[in-house]
Amino acid sequence: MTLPAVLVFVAFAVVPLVGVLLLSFTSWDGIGVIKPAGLASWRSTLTDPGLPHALWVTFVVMALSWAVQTPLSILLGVFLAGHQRYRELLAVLFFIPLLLSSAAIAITYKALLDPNFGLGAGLHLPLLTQDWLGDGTLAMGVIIFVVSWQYIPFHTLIYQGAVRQIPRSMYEAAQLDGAGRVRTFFRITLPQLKHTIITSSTLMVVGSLVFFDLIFVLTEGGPGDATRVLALLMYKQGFQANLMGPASAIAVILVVLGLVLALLLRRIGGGSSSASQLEGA
Amino acid sequence: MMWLEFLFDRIGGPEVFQAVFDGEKDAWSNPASIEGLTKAQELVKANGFVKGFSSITADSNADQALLYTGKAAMMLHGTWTYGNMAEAGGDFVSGGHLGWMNFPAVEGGKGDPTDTVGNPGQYLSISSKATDAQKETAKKFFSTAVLSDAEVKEWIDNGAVPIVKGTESQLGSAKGADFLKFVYGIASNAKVFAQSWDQALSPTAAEKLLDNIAKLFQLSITPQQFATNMNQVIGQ
Repeated sequence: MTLPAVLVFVAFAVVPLVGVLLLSFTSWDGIGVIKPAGLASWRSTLTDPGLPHALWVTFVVMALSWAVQTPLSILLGVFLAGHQRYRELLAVLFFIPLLLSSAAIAITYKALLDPNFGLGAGLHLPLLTQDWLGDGTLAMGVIIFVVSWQYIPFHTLIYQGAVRQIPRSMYEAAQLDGAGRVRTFFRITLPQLKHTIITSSTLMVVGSLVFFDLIFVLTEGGPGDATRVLALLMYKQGFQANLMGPASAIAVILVVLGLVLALLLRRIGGGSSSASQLEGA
Repeated sequence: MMWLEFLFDRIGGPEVFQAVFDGEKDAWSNPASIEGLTKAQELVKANGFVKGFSSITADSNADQALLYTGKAAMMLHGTWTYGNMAEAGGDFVSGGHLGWMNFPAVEGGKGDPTDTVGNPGQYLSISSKATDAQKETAKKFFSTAVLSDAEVKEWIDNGAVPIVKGTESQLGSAKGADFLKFVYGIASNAKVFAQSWDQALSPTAAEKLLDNIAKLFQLSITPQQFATNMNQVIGQ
């Protein structure tokens, strides 16, 4: 019954994984003959000073994008789950960034942020005319901003659905006990969203681990290597420096990291996701 | 990269990069090389480059736009930008606002000011792993098809200088004749026409090179660190 799914999974997930693992023990330039090289590629990857730097940059991107996206998504999700006026119109508008292609967004922002011909220069606003993509810290800020801008709608959608599921009786009980809006939010809404927060966070964290297209088009890892995340390091090693062995080693590291993070998040969220949060259970 | 290419040549002559190309150990630590790297950083510190230079996108021709909108006074670039500036720059080129010259000599430098760097017009590469028969075919293609008279004429009509000696007379009647004659002059009179570094070196070394150049111009590494980093990939 599950054979087609298993076949697809094996063909598109297991086979490439095994392939990359094997490639990491070779030395290959992408075009010529694949030469087995033992641990040479692993050694050169693990001693490359670029690797700890890329790990740090990836961690920063992950942590900051989580810290910015989660609170905003929760608040927006709660808002969209309500019944305010113009809610539907706003919902449509908020959703638009998610529909655009990452590469197109990156190209547009790049043009807007140009210090000489961009938005700031055009409107003569010194605050906006900084060297956004040429300064390490600013470039990181820009990346977090654009990523959040694109993906908050997605997580808002998840939270909106989750908030709609919270039984009204809980809110009525809180009202009877005299809880205000803020207390209701922190005592009823947030705890009921626990599993959703774990799901959304897992998607965010693992997603930002393999994030590539937006960062590649926006800064190409620059300036220098200020925004060179692990996925970009892998690309540069493999396809620009023609060192497929070390690039495959980095790919294996990415897989292991992603797995560890996903399992960690599940553990934090309480081992059993089948424990019910319904009243009376 | 072009800045460094010329500075190295003007200060220490073509031998400086040639040593790197030939795979000599620690070739990047040559005093002329360190001097070139230091001078490049001095230029950055003196605000010689336009604000935000490290984030300007060359693929959208934003750098050329700086020149023809009057935001930059000079630009070191390849001859291929002439065509785009003529088209997109309004009357910048046609109104005679564009001047040009070869990279000047550096005071006290050993290099010949007629030397130049780059890729002569158009170039084709063939892998050293190709079979002999494939190499023969490639050579025949190059000498008969690429450099035929019809091809040469097309190149000139498109505003580029073909890599054929003796085409000077045909350049006179083309659009932008002055510029084309200037380019032809540089190419034929150059004592040494060195390759662009990112083409001369292997992709592995070239990747490291571009990386380090970016960091050098950002002032995040010293010339000595640049030399150490690049020495590690010599011959790779």
